[in-house]
Amino acid sequence: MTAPVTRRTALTGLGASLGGALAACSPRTAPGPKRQVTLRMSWWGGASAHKATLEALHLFMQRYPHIEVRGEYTGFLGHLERLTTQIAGHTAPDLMQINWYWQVLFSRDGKGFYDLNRLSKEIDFSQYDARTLGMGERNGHRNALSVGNAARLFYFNRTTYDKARLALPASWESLLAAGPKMRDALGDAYYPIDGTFQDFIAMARSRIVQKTGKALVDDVNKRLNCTAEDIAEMARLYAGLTRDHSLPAARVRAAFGNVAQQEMRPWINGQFAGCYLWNSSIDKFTDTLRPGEHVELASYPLIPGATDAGLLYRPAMMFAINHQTPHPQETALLLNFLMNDPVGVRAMGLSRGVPSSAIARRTLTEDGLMTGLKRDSEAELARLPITVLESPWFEHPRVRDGFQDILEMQGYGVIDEETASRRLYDDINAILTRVIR
Amino acid sequence: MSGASIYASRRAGSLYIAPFAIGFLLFTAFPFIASFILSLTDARLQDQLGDAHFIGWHNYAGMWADATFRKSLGVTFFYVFVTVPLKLAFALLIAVVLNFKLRGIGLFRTAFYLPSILGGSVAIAVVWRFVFASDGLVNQFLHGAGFGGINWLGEPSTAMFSIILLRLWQFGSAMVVFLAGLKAIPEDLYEAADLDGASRLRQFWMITLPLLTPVLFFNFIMQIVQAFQEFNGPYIITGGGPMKSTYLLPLMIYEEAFKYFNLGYSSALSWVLFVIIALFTALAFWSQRFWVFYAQERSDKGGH
Repeated sequence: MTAPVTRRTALTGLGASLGGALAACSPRTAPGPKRQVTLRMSWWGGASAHKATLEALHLFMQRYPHIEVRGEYTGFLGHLERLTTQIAGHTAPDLMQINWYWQVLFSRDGKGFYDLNRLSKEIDFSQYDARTLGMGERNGHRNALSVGNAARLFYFNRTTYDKARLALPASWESLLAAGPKMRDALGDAYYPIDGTFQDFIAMARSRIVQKTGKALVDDVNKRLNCTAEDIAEMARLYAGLTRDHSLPAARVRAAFGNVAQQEMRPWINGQFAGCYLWNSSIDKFTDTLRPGEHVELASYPLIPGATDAGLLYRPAMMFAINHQTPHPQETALLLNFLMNDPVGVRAMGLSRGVPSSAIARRTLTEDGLMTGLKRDSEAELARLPITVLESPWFEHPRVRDGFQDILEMQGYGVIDEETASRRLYDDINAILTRVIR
Repeated sequence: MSGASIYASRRAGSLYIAPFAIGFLLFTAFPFIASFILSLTDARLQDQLGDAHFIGWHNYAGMWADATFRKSLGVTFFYVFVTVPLKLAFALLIAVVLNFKLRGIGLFRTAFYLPSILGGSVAIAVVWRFVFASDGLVNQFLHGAGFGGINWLGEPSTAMFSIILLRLWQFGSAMVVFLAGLKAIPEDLYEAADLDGASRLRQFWMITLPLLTPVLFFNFIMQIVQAFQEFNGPYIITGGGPMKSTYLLPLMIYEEAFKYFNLGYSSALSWVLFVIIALFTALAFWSQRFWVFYAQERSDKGGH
């Protein structure tokens, strides 16, 4: 028994006195006799995610009585600020829920989080496909594990479309054409689709990637990975959608103030009859609909000859382990329990979207939880060609706001479409050069 | 130890002031100095402070070339120059009205102070957003009265108006201070003015306002400082939009630090805001010799 103790201790850098107890266990199943350990885990989410996670933690502590886990949970707003100050102050929790993009913030060299490769005895990586695992790797270090993958898809209010006697748009052309038809049938207050600038930018990116077949951001050369003519498509699409009453104009959206899309009255009552949304978030949107309003997934529009749908298909959220944790093995046990253990998986349910772990998906499918929009969205994602991997820098707040500022000026008529096109190319390239390090 | 010897003891005295001194050093002096040092670096929030480089005045020098800063500064000045006079005037007007000897005046005073208890909190800002939304209470009222709705939050000019109105709504604190000042004005001055046949308006200009100038000065300083630091309103109601028309400097400081992680630049912006507030405060103190009337000075100069 002594030998494994020594090996494990050497691996983790812990004192030899800790090893005996840990080495006695089979890591993924029963950890054996143990010293009392307290872990901290942080996450963001809504009430259902909090409830499910706390229940899962309770079950974990029953399974491993020597490990106490304290949950630190908030809404999404302010969570990054909180985590940032914790990481900077060396007080980050042992297990952290992070966004995919945060890896470039906290772990540019791959060493900002614990290298999960060193915990392969505790975590069952065989449940994940290579693409999913790759999304959590930087410089050969496995930084984080995807809880669930997600992509933006088109969801439409079937009730409103039926009222307007329109089929759900399944092509870019039919989306553009739906605006005037819906306005004529139902009035000025009705729009085929709604979205924030951020939503629109992602939508336009998808169309551009369908044309170019390449990621929009080239983080090696710190530039847009397309021509000025390609990026002009963004300004053109925005002008077309807003002019044709297919997307609410900037002024119309801003009139509701800084409010979440699903809390806007026109979404609730079906006047804003569509959205371009992460499939992991669709429940949040359908929850607020007025009774009688029914949302359906639409076929994703593809331009003829497209080899890639241009989806931003990436982890909706990830779990990462603090690289300074004194308890990496125990934290890994917790991570594995939440993501790959049927007991933990059932407790977590679909509160974080469809899990990326194969065993978790199988468990929840067998339990009959994969229904409705969740099932349809998964099927659509499986059908679509997804090969392009976008750079995380596309989601950098400075880049995102750069796009938004230009489109907002276009929307308010401060600059014309031609100027917007030129600035989208010049300004975004300048921003990418500045921010990518 | 007798009471006298306690007061004479330096050690006991030091112990008494220790809580404040420690709190001040830890939570005011240290961040104050640290933020200035940070403003001279390229520190980023997600990096270790040891990784930051000293870049001298670069953050300050580059500020003027930053179009967002110029826009934010202009918006902030506009906000302060409009809200402070309006709020002071409104608070004074209400204080004068509530100084009348009326039945149930205490009830009115409480009612008018109520908005200030609620303040500009997050909850009130959220309510404000719903009130001024295109389908909000104000537009519903306008529609009901036969007028068209106004795009309060969607147009740059009217969005700022909505934010300004939220601050004006919190006039209660300034009003209470004015009310206290009004109560301190001797009644005999008004009686003498009545005997001389002065109108109410003339009494206000010749008696009330001059004797109220120390209170006005205090309120002016407080309102200037608070207005420059406004954050909740634009953050929650408009998010600084549309087109950065309500992007006040404190919001920019917050976003630079916590959205873009530029701790160094954000600290520099904070210092610029601090210097602006300090300059306005100093200007107000310098100018008070021309417009603030202190009763003590009157006595010193041979008055009664």
